[in-house]
Amino acid sequence: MTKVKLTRKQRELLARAELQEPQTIYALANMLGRPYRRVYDHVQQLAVMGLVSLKQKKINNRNATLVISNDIYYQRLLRLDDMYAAHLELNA
Amino acid sequence: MSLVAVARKLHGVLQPHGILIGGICGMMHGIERFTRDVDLATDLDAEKVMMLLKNEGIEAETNVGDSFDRLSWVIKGVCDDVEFQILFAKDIGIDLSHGELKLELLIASEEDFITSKCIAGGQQDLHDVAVLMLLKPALKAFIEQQAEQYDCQEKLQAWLYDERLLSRYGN
Repeated sequence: MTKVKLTRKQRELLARAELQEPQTIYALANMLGRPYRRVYDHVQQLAVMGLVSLKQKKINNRNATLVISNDIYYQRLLRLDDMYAAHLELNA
Repeated sequence: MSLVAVARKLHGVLQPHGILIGGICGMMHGIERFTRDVDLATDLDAEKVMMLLKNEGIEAETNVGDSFDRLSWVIKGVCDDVEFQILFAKDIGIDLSHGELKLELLIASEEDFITSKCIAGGQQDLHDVAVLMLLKPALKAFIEQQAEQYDCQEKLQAWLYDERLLSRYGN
């Protein structure tokens, strides 16, 4: 993977995105205590660098953008949770 | 709560003396299979672990091994509806200092993971080792050495000829 140089704020944002379930930009801004607009800009920059994917989702009838880390380990943990959730559903 | 969230919680309770092993560790190393529980190893003694769990309101019990048992003790419990077990790292060939930090979770190194699986020697364990061997040919010599040391070559070979495994992970 190509190394990219991130600012401290971008690194913090990426670390937060990797430690949580996929979150909206709004939720990430709240968690980080930063203005929505700045976090939105950083998310767009991370997406251009290929470090996160963005997924549109309707939450409470409003359009929201989920931020999903592209880190391979993060993706693996997500799949683990998906399999576990499917197992719980099957056994419910 | 999700499986990974429980793993994070238990990992946090044991810090800096806990390391993830088992299915979650395997998944982090690329072994894609379902797991329903959280396995950890620690270099603490059982009493200390039980005290840490109790402080967090997590119920668990200790099973002490006898002289024929390869395990000194096993702590089993349920945390937020997810079953977990904690083992003494030394019993299963795990060295915390070899651990790799991924997304703030300490996971057993590939080599220690392989050793622990060869020591355990069950079908699922050797399945995981076979997958790693197919995924990472550079580990072949180490895996063969460990399989010989812990006398599990036959089970490993059976998995290495398994058609489903070869179609999924083979070249």
